[in-house]
Amino acid sequence: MGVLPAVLAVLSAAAPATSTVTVELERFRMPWEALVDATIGTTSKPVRFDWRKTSVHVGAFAAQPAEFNNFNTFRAGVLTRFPSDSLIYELGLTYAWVWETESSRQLALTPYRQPGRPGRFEIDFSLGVPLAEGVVTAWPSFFPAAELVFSAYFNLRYLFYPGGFSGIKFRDILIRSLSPKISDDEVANLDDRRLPGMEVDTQRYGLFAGLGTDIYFASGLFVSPRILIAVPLLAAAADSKMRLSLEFSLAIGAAF
Amino acid sequence: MSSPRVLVVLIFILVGCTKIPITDIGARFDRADAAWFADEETLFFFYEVAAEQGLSDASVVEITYRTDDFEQPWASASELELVHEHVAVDCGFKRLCGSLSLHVPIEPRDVQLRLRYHVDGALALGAPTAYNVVGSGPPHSNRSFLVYGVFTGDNRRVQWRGRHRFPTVRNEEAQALGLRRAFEIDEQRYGTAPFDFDGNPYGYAAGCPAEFVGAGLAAVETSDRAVFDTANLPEDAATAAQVCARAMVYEPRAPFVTTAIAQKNPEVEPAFPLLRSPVNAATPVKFHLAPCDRTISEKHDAMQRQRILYDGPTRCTDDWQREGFADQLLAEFRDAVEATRPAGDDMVLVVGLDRDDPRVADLVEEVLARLLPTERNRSTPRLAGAFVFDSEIRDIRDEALRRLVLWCPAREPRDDDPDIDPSQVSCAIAADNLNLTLGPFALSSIPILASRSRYLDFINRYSEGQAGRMKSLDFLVPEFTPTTDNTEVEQGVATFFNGEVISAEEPHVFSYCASDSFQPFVFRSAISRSDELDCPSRLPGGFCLPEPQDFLPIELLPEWHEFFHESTYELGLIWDFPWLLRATYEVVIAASASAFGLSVPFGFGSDQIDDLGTAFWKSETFSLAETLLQCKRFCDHPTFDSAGIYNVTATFRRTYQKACYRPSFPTPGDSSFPSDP
Repeated sequence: MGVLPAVLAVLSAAAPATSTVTVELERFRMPWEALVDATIGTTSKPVRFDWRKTSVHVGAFAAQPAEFNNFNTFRAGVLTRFPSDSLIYELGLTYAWVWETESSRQLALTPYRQPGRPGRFEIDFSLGVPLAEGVVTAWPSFFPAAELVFSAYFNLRYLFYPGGFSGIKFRDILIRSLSPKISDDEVANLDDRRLPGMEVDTQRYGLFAGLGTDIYFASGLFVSPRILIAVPLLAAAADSKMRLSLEFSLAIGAAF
Repeated sequence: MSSPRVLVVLIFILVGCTKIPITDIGARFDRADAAWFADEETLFFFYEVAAEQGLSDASVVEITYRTDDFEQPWASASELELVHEHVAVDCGFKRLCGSLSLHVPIEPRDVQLRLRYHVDGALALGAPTAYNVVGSGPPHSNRSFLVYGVFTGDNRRVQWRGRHRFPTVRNEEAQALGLRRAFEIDEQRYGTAPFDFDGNPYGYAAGCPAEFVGAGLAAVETSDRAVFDTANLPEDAATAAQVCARAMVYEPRAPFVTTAIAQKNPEVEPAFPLLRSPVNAATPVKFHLAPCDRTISEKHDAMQRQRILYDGPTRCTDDWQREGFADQLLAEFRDAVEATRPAGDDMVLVVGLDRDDPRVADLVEEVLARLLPTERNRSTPRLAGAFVFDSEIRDIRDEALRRLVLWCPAREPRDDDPDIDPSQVSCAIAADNLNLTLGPFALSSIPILASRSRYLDFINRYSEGQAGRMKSLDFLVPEFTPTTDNTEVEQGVATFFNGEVISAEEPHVFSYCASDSFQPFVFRSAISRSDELDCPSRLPGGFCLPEPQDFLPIELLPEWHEFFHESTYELGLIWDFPWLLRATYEVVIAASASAFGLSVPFGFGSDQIDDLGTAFWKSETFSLAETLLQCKRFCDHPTFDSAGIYNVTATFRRTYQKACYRPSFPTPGDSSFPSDP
């Protein structure tokens, strides 16, 4: 039913139902709530930047992991995203710098050690699930209105330690790469790369979940702050003591 | 997500929401050894530390000790002046190990080691130190390092070696823990002297006799524990048993100068590398014995002739019960042999026996028993034995004939047979044919040397063409010389073919190497065949011979020579059958297909070669190269084992008389550190 006949039906319902005209209009009557819903449902959605119509996003990002040990870590790298109608697929490559703290230096003087991860490359496979989105205004006011997408993120991370596979046959490397736990040979190879006071953690794969917002400007630029929390499902399989970690990251890029 | 699931996830995450713990690296000393040598005024330390991941280059092992006039505070290697070279050692992931040597003139006390977790840290792990003091005494037992020499396999070049000696650390362990000792060898001289190695097996510091002759070799030095001379010894040194040299071992005050000795390896070679006995093709002297006045079976008769490849006349046996038949048959056999002998080849009597009365076979066996024993031990040309192809399965009754005659077909051996004669091994057959029926198809096969009953039964079902066909019969017989000496024993015949002897002298030592395979060698000597043996009073237990023996097994030769020191040992072979029949024939898998009352035979033929009698004479050569070795010089010297270990207390004479000698000698170009546990 079109909008005009529906309005006429409402108006006619308010008139006295004594004439034959009333009888003829009876079949066009409908409740007010249904009329309102139908009217809103056909209103066009306000979209500042339609990210669903882009094919690829490219950006750089930096992250500050909080691993709950006494070593500092900073990650930076590049990412590529591929949006679809309902999901965002993301592939990232980063390097994680790790350095001492005064606490770890003091720890190295004792017979004790704390699990940590030496400097490494990380490859991230992420899946974004948009939960809510809409047009928002920004402050200061000279910023144009933007498209904001609030998403849940699920992330699988592969940790690659340079030199870890030194002296290991190529076939064994392929096999061990699939193992959630770093082998003893790799740990031995990393002994020279670990920081004083560090015990090399044996987890090869990380699993994360979190929330983030993607703010798209009309030009296609986007800013994406995100917070992830480690899901310790693979940590047990890797005999890892680093079960919990948080990570705050910020990505900046452009959508094409 | 339902509330319980959310709760489970939250609990799971909260369990992991803790700070990452710190853990103890669990360091421990696997070795913390110290030894002070009075004559060297040197205190040695050896340590090995193991831990979980956490040791690093900043972790150090420190030592301390105290003497009457000095107290060494805790200090690491980098803070101490070391006496000897100590190389950095990588003893593996999660491990820290090494060694130290300090000049300590006075016997130290309170010697201790500890691990400082970090060179800048204050925390340390004390070690339960094992400390030994080695006082003054002979250099070979009271010094931490001795020098000795070994020879290459050809006894022409010396490799000089150093050997660490510590109370709690083995030679190769000290090497692995980084200790290097430098030594120099010069003034090498050669000669032969009765050194006293008792208690000093390496002869270190045992002196160098003045009559030894200078070898003219250049000085050599190393800190790698072993170094080869730069040149071979002069040819004049071939008879010398030892080389001695001046050895200088570097120590804190001044080099310790003494003498070192190299003993030549035992000169060992096969005692008798190869025993060769020609095996020649023998001439078959063929007969076919059968009744002539009647025919038992024409088809079987034809088969017998085909099998022995004989198409000559039949020697009739109709009058076998006549008196003198056996003598006449014997004479005919002899005449045939004598007629063949001038050709110069050995012979084998081949008899096809077609009979239906077992007494005929008994008579033939009697004739053979009269003929063969007189021939068997003659020199070539001789009649080596007989091959009888009978028409029935039969056992040989005469015990002696079993080792001369192949009587086919033979009965299959039973479990209660005292022994199995060669005929049973070579041509035993079952009494009946085995038929396999698969629906309309029937399969069977028959031995090439079958009995009459089995043959007739077979061809009745299949055909004569499927019974196979003999293609050739080759008889191989060892050649006996006029001096060949045979001795019959229970297990066969021992033959001394052509005066093969092993010569020996009193200091010689034999070594017998047992193997899984049968060793057919025997020996005899003047004493073993004489009445000199006064058993058991004069002889060791192993040689209690109640009476003179014609021969003894070769494995007794090393002990025999060690006791009797005879100069000559005759070498022989022991065998079980005097000739070999190589039969080449066509064997057929016979088949027939039956349908609608008709049976169509067909078959699949293939050639086969069988060696009947014994496989012993398939070869003309019998190698003793790895079975019996003879040491002719330096037999009381130590030598190397197959792993290349120099067993300084295991002389050839004491060790290898009953053991296999497979030495692995050092060769120039070997890696620096010899295997010397």
